[in-house]
Amino acid sequence: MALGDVITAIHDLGHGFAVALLPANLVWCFVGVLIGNLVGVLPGLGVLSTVSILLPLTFGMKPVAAILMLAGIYYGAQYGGAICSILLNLPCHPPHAVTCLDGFPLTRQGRGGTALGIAIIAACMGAAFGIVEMTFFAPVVARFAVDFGPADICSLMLLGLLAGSTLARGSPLKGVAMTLLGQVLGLAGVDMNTGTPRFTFGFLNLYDGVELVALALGMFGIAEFLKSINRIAPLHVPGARLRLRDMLPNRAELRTAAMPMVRGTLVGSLCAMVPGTGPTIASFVAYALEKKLSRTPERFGTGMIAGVASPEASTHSSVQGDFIPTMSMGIPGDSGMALLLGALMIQGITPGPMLISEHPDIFWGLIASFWVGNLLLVILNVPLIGIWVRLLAIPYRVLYPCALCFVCIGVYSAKNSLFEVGETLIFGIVGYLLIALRFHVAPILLGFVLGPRMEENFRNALAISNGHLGVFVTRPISAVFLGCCTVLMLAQLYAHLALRRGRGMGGAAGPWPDVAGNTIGVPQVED
Amino acid sequence: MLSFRYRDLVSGVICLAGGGGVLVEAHNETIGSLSSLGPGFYPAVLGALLTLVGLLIVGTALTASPTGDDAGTEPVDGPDWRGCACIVGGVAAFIIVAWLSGLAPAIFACVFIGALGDRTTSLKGSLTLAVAMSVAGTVLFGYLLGINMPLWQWPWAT
Repeated sequence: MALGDVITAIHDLGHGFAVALLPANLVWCFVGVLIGNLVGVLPGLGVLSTVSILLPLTFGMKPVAAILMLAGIYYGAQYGGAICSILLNLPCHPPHAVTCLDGFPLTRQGRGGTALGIAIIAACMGAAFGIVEMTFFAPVVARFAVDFGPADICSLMLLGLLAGSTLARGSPLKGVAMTLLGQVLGLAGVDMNTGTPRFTFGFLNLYDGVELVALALGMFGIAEFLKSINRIAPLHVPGARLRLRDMLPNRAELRTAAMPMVRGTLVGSLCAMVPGTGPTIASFVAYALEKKLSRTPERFGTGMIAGVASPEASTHSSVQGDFIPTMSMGIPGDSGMALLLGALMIQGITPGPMLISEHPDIFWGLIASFWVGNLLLVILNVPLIGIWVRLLAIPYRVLYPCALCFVCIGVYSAKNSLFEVGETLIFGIVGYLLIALRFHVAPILLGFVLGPRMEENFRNALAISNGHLGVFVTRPISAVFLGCCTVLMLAQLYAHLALRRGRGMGGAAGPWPDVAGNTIGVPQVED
Repeated sequence: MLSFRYRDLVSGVICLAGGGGVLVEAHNETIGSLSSLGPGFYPAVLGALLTLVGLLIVGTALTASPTGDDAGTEPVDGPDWRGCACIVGGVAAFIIVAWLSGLAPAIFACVFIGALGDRTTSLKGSLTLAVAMSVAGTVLFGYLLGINMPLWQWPWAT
């Protein structure tokens, strides 16, 4: 990267701050991080469902304000999620599931405040690195991606979908099945090239396609309620009188945490680069790495500072870095990013490499708002920690009926039609059945958002090449992406076979420590 | 109650059925030629892939060692019937009541029925919550955010 790029980026970032600091945008950014922090803390409410509930409300807002707020919810929730994990041993949010392993033992030793303090410092560091990375790296990626033809985009999307569905936890085959299901759902509606309605089953309401909000709220809202109801025990909140003084780590603790934070940050930013690996994988990898490097690996799980610092830094660095492929190429790394991308498309903005040059307000405003938002989150979390901790005591029996009615109203307001509410209900029931069968529903959203664009690019690629399928391997960029796909699949196959052999010889552990990622309320943390 | 391999078998069969369904539905559209693809081509590809994945899942389910694969061997709890019925009923009630008589009663019905699903909630508790949410929701969505739905219709006019 040349010096000129750096200067341009800094100059553009200045413009971004001018956008983000406009009073209206500042307020929306604050609203976003506040709501995000809130749902992060509350057990039983997910980030995805919150973003989807609020999505219809942003239709009337300006694109910049809408995206600042929705993004704020997404990264704001990561701050709140750590509180739940450390103080209550509840892995409410998958990326913070590993933080429970050492965070909760620290709480039991009466050092919960310190753990929270370390988590916040790690979060800031990870986030700051991720934002800087995005500032300088995303424009370069976008400039590179401008030359991509339809065939290249198609192969890149295939790589993104494959990675997103197979690298996550659970069976890769089931992940692929869910991506395909998402793509099938994306088919519904009038075909853009020929005008024929497909998969509408005679419903006029389906001619516009399946509503994104209905799908997201069904799969992540209603399905979650169906799964969690009467399974979440009332909580006893231990650290209700947490004071600011307790949160300041002493010098020795900071020294112990410093290197794990740096390593976690790097792991997170690497994971952000690989399409399809979101913050959850980043935090698991960071924890595993820390354990491997430690001189006392056997003490992990008993309250090691490093076991909190590294995954937290990694999560935040990955959350911010995840915006890079999303904003610079239009390829979302995980379902949260897919939702944000959907929000952009609803606003009439085409995601892709042209986004940065065509909508500098959105891109640079978003980056600047990350700085503002993270600062606000530190202010919200450090002095006001007591309030958040008290919120943990809100029982689920009050929480879910309210959320249920917000889901209904949110879906209704997306199109002012009750048909979509019915759609949500059906998706909710289907989603619950799929979860019960141990499918992971997140890749559905990825397939749903990417599917239609992938089909369009596939058709265009073949139209340009006069129907030669060879175009996907003769174009070098496309060939590289397809090569990556092949490597990924072979690696999965190898891992599967190795795992099977390992099981036969007395059981080897899977690639990721199996911490409860899909259950809330009942911590299934194994040590 | 479902044991592990059985669950995978069911999953695979569902994928197979889904893939088959998509193939049948795609069959209604024109496939087109490679240089100009019809609207039926991509769905057919997806259907075929889904069928293939379904076959593979069935295959792994039949050959996997019973000690378990990634999903673990733990049984799934059966659904919580009362909770699930109330949640589904709450959303269904929202649709019907909103259609008949507007936002405020719809919120009331949805929250009231939904809240009854929790085994620790009393009738009075559900009622209080439902009234509170109806007032708050109507003010927030009806007046502040201007939702496009009548707030209250009585007797209903559709």
